[in-house]
Amino acid sequence: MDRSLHRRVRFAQLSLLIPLALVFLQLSRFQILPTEDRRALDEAPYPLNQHIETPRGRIMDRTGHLLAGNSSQYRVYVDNCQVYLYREQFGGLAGGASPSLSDVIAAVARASGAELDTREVVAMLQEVDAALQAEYGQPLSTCTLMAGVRTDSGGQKLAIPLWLTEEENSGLEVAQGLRPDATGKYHNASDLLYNIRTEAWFFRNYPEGSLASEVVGYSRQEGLGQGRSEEGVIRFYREIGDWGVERFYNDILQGAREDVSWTVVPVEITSNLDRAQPPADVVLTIDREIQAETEAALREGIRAGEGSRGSIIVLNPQTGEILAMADFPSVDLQDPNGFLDTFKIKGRLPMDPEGQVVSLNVAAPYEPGSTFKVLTMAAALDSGAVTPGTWFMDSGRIEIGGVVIHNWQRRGFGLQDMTGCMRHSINTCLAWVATQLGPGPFYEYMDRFRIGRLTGVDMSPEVSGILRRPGDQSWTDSTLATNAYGQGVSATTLQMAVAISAVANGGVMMTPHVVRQIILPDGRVHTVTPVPLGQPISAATAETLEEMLAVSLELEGSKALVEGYRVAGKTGTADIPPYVTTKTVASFVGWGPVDDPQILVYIRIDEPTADDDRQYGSITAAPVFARLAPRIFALLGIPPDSIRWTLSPNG
Amino acid sequence: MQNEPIRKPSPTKIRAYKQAPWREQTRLLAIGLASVFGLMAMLALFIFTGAQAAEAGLRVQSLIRERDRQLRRLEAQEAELAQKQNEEWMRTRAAELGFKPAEAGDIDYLVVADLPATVTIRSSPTSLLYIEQDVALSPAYRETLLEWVLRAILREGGA
Repeated sequence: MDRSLHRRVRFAQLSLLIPLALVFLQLSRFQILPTEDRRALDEAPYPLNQHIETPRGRIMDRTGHLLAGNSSQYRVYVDNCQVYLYREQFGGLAGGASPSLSDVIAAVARASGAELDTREVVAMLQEVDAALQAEYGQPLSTCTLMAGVRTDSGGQKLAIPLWLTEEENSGLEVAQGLRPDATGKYHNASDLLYNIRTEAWFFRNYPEGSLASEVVGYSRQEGLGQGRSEEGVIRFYREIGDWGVERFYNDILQGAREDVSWTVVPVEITSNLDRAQPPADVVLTIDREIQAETEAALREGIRAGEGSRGSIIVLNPQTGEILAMADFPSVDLQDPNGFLDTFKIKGRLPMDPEGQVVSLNVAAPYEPGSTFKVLTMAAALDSGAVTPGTWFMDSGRIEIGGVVIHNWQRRGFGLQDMTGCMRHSINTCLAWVATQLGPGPFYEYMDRFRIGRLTGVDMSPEVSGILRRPGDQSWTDSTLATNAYGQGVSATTLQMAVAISAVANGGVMMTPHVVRQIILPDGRVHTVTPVPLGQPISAATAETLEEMLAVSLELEGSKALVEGYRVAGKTGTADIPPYVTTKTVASFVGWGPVDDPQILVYIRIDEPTADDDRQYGSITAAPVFARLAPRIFALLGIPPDSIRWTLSPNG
Repeated sequence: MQNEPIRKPSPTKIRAYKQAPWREQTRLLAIGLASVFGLMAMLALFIFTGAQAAEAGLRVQSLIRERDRQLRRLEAQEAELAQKQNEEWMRTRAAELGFKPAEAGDIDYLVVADLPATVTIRSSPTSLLYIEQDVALSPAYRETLLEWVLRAILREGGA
């Protein structure tokens, strides 16, 4: 053989051996020296489907403080449960080679550190299995582990769900060889845990507890329910908002839980994951500090007036942004067990003692009483039925439609102009004003103020009050007179605040809203633009009435006056239908600074005591405004009038 | 049909075959073996690529699990942090440190032109899940050989 042939043979050998060696190496690497990922896959049960879950969107206040976030907990399942149940009943092989259900559950408890009553859990699962076989002829294939069993008042056994914390789940996964321990080492997977599967669930977390709970709302687990198939992917929606923003914006806040096929083909994995689009976050108009001040003022007001419940709204009349919304009692969002009792207190009325209300501001209409006179006077001034200089001789009583109307304390105030009527809150005067206006224009104006209609606030559920009109079955001429001073008509505090905000904002009502921004998953921010809700009265009327109400407070020496700031407002004291008790609802609506109103505050305190005249809005609700308004001015950086005029470019 | 005349091998070839008749067999054997090994080399390449893809898939799965874990941790830690800084706690702590809410008279006001907005909203941990269209896989990872060739031809043709 010559050299050339020898070289060719060598070359051929190498060409053949190198691919062979590569094959051998690759197979060795794959089979003999597997990577950590492959080793974990070999030793762990390989799921055909994987749950992909996106958390629910966050809710933040206007300064970015978290009001609703998420935390995780883990459910634990035993696959092939029937095998373990069988061994539990008939015993397994000797030497622990065939573990029973008790062995498996005990191993889970050891690995996770969770407290489990093994005996009770096994007994319960056996019971469920027997019931399933008897009823449907189907054995239990997957066992969901529970922490234990409790017996309810009816003697029925109920399972206590087992939810592992992040730390407990981590311990379990280390024991299963699914993840390394703290030192970075993978442990040998325990045979006992071979069929154990954990599933992470997001849970809503409300770090501020009861703060702004009326606005934020609550999101509850809806259970597994029926999955919805979308393009071959089974999608479960597990949480649903119960009230407030959580309910109104449920569609964009909602996280999704999906079962996607779990494959090792990279392209298929990523294409499946693309489906799990995360939800959007929402930023509220609520300011955490103003909200806390408002809640504190409300609690203090109710305590001072010995009221049963109450609510306050703080809104910016120029934009419709709700800066704070508080009601009392309020639920602690971290303690759902207390919800029902709180709702019952909020909803209890003489004619509906078992009623339930989730929000006093948007879902509990009441007869507002004298704060409604602002709307009556606005309508009368705007239509020209009266002017601020119109005189009224008050004798303390007036008969309209066969019904005699009295003033509070049945007093007569003599000759009064319209400012005097508002200052002394004279029922007879406002009833007379309404008759001067006439029922047609009066109810037309009330429609423009959206009384009896929803405001469209972005909170659920909003409930509208009732406004009876001419032609309605129970409407009579006297209804017009009583409506004029806020009885026989119902509205929520939000409806009242929005309607009266027209007087504070040059005749224009802005749509009330609690969401300021929506942050999309890709970081784009959608900012909510203030939208006018309507202009029920002219700017000139609004200015005139605002001045009348500011002067009224000043002449009266009202307890609502705020040092350093000129404010306007009106008190209200309303009887509670069916008018069989002497209980009242005390209210006050106020806004300021009068020359550039930045806040409007509506206060409602239910059933204050009659001792020391505390049933009146002027005694119970007005001081709450005087206490709260300067705090809000300070938080918003609004200087006292004298300083503001100095700092103003025109000053 | 006219038969082709049979061409007689050259005397050198005849002599060589007579001297070493195994040469022809060896050559045929070598060609056969080369084909087999060539096929094996292709299979090796196929296995190599397949194994790499599967391993990449496992790595992706592992990373997804890790991302999920980190997402959950971030969400939980954010909620925990918010809980530790909630309004009530901050107010209590401020009171303990001797602070009190400022009254109107305590505050000095001054005009600052073009005051920048100080509110910064942190991006959500859920944004981790958002997959940008820009980082989508190249078609080369999804298409068949034929599709790739056609695409290459079209691209060349279009250029």
